[in-house]
Amino acid sequence: MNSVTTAQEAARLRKRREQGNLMFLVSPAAFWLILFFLVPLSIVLVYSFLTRGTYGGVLPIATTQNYAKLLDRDYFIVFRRSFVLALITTLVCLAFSYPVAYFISRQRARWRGLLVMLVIVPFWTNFLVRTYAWAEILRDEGVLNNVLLGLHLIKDHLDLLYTPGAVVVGLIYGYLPFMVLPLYANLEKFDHALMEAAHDSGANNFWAFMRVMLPLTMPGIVAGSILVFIPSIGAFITSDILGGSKAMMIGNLIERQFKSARNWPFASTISITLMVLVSIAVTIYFRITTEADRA
Amino acid sequence: MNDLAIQLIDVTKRFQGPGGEDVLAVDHMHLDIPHGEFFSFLGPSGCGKTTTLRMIAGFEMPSEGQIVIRGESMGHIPAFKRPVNTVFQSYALWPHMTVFQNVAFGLEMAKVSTSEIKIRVAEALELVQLEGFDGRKPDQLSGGQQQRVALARALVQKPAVLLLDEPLGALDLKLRKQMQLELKHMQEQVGITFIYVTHDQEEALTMSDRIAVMHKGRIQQLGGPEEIYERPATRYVADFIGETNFLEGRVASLQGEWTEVNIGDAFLLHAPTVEGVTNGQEVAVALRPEKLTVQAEVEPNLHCISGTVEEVVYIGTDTRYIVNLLGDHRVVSRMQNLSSSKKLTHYPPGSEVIVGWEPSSGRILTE
Ligand SMILES: Nc1ncnc2c1ncn2[C@@H]1O[C@H](COP(=O)(O)OP(=O)(O)O)[C@@H](O)[C@H]1O
Ligand SMILES: [Mg+2]
Repeated sequence: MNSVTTAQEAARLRKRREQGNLMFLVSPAAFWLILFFLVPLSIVLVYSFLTRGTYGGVLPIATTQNYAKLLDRDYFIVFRRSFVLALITTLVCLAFSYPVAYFISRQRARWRGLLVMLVIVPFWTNFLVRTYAWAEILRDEGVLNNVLLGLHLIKDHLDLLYTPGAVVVGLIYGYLPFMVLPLYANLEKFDHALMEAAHDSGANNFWAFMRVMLPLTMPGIVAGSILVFIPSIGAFITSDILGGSKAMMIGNLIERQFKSARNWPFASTISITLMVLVSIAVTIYFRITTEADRA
Repeated sequence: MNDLAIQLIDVTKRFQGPGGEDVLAVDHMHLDIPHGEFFSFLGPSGCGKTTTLRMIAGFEMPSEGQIVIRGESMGHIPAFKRPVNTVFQSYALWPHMTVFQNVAFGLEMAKVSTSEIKIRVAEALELVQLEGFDGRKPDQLSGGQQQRVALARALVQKPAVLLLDEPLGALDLKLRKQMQLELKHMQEQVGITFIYVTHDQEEALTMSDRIAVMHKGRIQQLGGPEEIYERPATRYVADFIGETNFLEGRVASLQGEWTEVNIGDAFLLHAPTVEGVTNGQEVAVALRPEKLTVQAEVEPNLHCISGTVEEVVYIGTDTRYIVNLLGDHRVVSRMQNLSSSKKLTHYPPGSEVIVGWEPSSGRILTE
């Protein structure tokens, strides 16, 4: 009896020691997150309930006015546009990336690394430069319009730049690798014999995909979608350069409130609201996709 | 024609090797497999067994020739429309589905009603003795249980032909032996043609009605287990199936039923004449170790050659002797340790002994 308790005691002590070691390992990351994420976030949260000073600055007077203001229709439109554009971006990225990731995963090992490299090659150039390049392509006298005019495919130039479409093109271009990479990581591990087994059991390509490959690559789809959706809905550079004032997104709204309008409390309110909405959306998405997997 | 489950007509499969060169995986194969047979492809790794099976299943298309299933030429009919099912070597169970869902999938695809699916899945799980495991996921099963699910998943669809690619390869020896017998019983019970791939000769001998011994994409010999073991057609088959002594020599004379072979000018022996053997031909005489007895005295009716014992290995059921025969021909003999009460005579290394065998147990190999 006695020896049993001491054994249990020893096991508990060992466990505690292991936990201690783990804590030690995560402490740098934890420290970093607390200092540079939680603390600023708390400041933003507090600001969102404070009052704006007459000449900018923040007055320590508690209010919910900022949140009430956000219910205004103009702001709702910007939120809705951001959501729709981010959703379209995510879906198009998914549709483009799945075949690409599948194709790469089916190549011989020595080609795969090279192809993955090609997917991330755009990262070698500054994001800003690449976005300006798109502006150059899409503007009225830009490359695309000139080519189309030159080929007599159109009579007059098309209004491409400063449209929601231009923003979506820029976002897709910018975030496509974030979709390809997790999908590829998932598909590369995928055992193709599972598809053969499905065909063997009488499933054609469509059903084999729906019932076997899709559920088993859901983790990659979820990861990729989140990695594309979140930066897209908060996009700022892309919509600024390619959308202008006609396709303003939440990111531009926040920027304006912080800078030109000098309304820090309201900017904080928008930031917090965006964060909460995104968290809710991602949670719902997570639920649905993992539920589908479990069913 | 109609009693054939599978016909392979001049089937060839070429792959592109890593350097772009052609790899001949299956080389002009001809084969008829009747309904209800337990048929095995036996051969070492890389001889084209899996490729042959995959062509029958429809996962690979032949480069040349055709595959006929139940009298119907398969042409480019895709896998999901063929009346065959496969038990994969790695089982390939869908990890996100339960045992029930795995087994039910094929029936769902065939649009079988929900109530019938329940009945048939239950029957299939009973057949493989997995009642009550319906709700488990594959990763909650042992290797042997996963193997049974794979079997149930294939059998539930009542295929004309069941293809099995080394289905027992991942199991430990004891379970493998047990499953061999179970599979054989199951096959007799359901009456489905089994086409079985293995590199394990004992497994093939235990289970099969007929065996095709393969080598480099070709069938070297086709026959029943006894025929393959007792009357191998080539050195390759004799060597691959079990252990064999080869005595190299030259045909001295043909005497009707018997052929006299001169073994390296050291001694003459008789063995049954085989088809195509000619006078003066270089041949090998194959002798199974268990057909050779090590003894002290010359015995009538046996070929008796004297030699020196080089090595003795006691392996429980048997004792293995390595004996250097007259003319420096080393042979292995395996003698059963029949009874402990009957004092076994042991011949220590260095003993001068007689190695004897019945002339009819020698097998002349011309290639
Ligand atoms: N998809 C493939 N691509 C190229 N070569 C292949 C492919 N599949 C099989 N082979 C080659 O064909 C030969 C036979 O292979 P396989 O049928 O798998 O043999 P076994 O099942 O008897 O071990 C081997 O040389 C193998 O390397
Ligand atoms: Mg194989």
